Amino acid sequence: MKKMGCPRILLADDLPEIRERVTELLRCDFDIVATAQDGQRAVDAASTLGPDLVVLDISMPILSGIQVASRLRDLGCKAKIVFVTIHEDPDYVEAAFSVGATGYVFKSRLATDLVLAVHGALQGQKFISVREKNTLRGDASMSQLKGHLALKRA
Amino acid sequence: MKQVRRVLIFYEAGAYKPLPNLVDQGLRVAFDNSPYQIEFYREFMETAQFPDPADQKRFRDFYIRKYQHHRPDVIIAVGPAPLQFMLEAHHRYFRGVPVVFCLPNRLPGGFNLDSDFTGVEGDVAPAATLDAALRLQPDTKHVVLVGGTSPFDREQEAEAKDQLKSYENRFDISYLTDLTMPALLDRLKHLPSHSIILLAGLGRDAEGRVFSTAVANPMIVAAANAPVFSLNERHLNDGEVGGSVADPVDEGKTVGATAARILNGEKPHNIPTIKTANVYVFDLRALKRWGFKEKNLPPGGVVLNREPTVWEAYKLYVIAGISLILLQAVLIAGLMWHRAGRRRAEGELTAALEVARESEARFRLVANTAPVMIWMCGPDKLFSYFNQPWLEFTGRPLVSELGNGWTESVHPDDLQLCLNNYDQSFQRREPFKMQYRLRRHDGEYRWVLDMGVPRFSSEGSFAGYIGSCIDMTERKQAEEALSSVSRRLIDAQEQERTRIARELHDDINQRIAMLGIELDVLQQSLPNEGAELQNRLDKLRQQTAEIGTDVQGISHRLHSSKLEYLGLVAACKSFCREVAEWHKVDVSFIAENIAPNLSQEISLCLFRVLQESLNNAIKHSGAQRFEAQLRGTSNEIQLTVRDHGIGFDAAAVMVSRGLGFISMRERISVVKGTILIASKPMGGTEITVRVPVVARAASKTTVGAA
Repeated sequence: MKKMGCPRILLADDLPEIRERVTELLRCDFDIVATAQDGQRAVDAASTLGPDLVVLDISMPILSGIQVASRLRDLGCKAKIVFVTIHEDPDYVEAAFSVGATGYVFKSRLATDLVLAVHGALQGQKFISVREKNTLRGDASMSQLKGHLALKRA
Repeated sequence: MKQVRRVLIFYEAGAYKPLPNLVDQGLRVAFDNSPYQIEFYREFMETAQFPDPADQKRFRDFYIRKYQHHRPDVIIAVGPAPLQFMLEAHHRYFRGVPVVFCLPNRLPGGFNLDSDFTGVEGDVAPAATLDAALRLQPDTKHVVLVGGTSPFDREQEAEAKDQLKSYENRFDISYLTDLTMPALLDRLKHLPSHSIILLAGLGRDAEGRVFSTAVANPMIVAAANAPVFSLNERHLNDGEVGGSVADPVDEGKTVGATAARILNGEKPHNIPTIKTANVYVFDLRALKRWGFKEKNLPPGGVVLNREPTVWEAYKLYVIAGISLILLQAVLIAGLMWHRAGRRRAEGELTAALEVARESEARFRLVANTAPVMIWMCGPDKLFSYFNQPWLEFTGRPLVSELGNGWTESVHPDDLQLCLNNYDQSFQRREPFKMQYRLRRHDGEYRWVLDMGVPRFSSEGSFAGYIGSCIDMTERKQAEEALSSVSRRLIDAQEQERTRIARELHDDINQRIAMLGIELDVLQQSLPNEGAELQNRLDKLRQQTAEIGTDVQGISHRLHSSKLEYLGLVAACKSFCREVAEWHKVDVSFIAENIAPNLSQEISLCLFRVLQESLNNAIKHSGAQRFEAQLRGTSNEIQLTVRDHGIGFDAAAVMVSRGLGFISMRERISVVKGTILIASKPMGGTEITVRVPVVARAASKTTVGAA
């Protein structure tokens, strides 16, 4: 079911439920060209298929999402990268952007944030999920990253 | 027959120190004409050599047991510590026994002495001490009085201020009495030239830190760039030049006289406390260090630590010289005797040979029945003897072992090291100790511990080595087993933590995340009218997210996922930040030149060492500021953790009671690294770990065209 003209997306996550959910969310607007269940396969698929955007989990077997992103950058891959992860700690966000991410979506905000982040990333706009107010427990360093936040949640 | 009276004397210093002997000299004079037969019992509390309160407590308990039922008729307490001991123990264990104390200083206020106590006290003499100092260093311009903040220190400071008033117009006099020890030491390093230091009591500094003279005096003398004259110190162990102090001989006499009066029936409370005269004492070594001339000393001064006179120093040589001449004469006479009666001489020679043979046989008997392997070699490095146990061990005949034959049984991997060691020790004629593998008669290589000592003939010439070996294979195996057990324990613990952390993170947490997502989707798909339901769903979703965060926190503390996903530097940085927030201290972290592709083993080792040492430092050092540093070079990574705390204690505590320290050392040894702990009192502790790394080529992935 190829959709001509739609942006082409590669999806890498080791959990089938997440792959399924993400596919469901992106199916209407995008063409999911491949899914990968570990980091090495993600690198291989990205370099053969040349997608417009890669949706990456961080905790994956063989290579982590961070490693995948830095390999892709080393290989000269131009695909935009959006991380989808359960890591909400600012250190991870910082690491993700330092290896060339354009979007960073918390799994806890997947349903609301993912489509926005992917659309934004394809236009070169950065996106970071923000934490639920009452789960934000005195995390001061979060505010340092507010600068990255170019796109507000609707 | 005279009646016996027992006199028990407690000295604060050790028996070999000059002071107790001087006091003793005076004491004995007083009992010369006693109508009783006096039995002296002397105990030395040695508070400088055994400063640990636990040691002192043991000594005291021992004294109490020793004398409680062997009661002295009078107790003499020489020094503040024995007096303190008596104040605490007298009422309970020696009630009714009179105590005569003997103090170098004025008895401090606040001591509650009962009617069994009397004694002799000295006093500080800052003016007299300054006079002596000026005789030695006439060009003095600056006088610095160093003191402390305890009541006793303050009392001495006030006395000094009073006595030194008349010197104020001639010298620049300053008082360093309200500084912390580090600040004081720093000031003393930079005194102007032509200064002298008068050291009064310094029992406590401005920070409230407590010092004994055995601790404070060496630090002060070491730091000061001017001579230190002490108002209190009579032992002069630590480089003080000297000063005017209570005369120990005079004190001894007075104390002895007081004790004698008490034995003769007088009551202690009828004898008032007596003040003794002062005397000058000087340390000859310190005089020499500062180039002070002995002829400039004030008259009547006592010089301690005097070197032996020419006769004392060279007595042995003179005696040896004379003996040599005598020996020569005897030899000449002997030769003449020999010529005169060859036959008889031959008979004597046979007898001497017989003695030698007998002693040789005795040696062999001992050597062959000893449970160790023994060897001997000559000055030519060739082996000339192996005992029976050696030959039985290797299963080879003596002829094959002689010369260098024995090396054939040494394990080829150990041979070079073994010979090098042997050669080096041989050159220097030093004893040596080494371990190598030696082939047993059954072909098995066994670890032996070989200890060799040089031999010298009766004329003193080098005659080779004698050595003994024991089979230590079992011990070696036990050591290795122990080490491998602890390694495996560390591994197992680490694996278990990682497993639980992974389980929590990759499974439980992902499932929680899924649950959250499903709730989210459900919420969005509901019609807007169900506001109540919307609300409840929203709450559920938030609670799910909270559980997720908590589980993630637990997983992170068990095993830093950052270490795995973000690398060593990010994990260390984040740990430093967390620990600083948690303990409300300041932790700075710097990383330089750390390659991103370190092995998991090395990253984990360095990360755990950082955790352990920083936690320890925060717990034990009492400091507020900490520094952690990771620095990479082409072939190693260096981790440094530094604090500015109290030093010594922290290091000692860490090494002695930390199971963490053991596991830290094991981890480091697994990656072939080294650890160094440097610490000094007041100077903080610094832990440096170096781990060798093999330069890895930055791994590029080659992507298959599948």
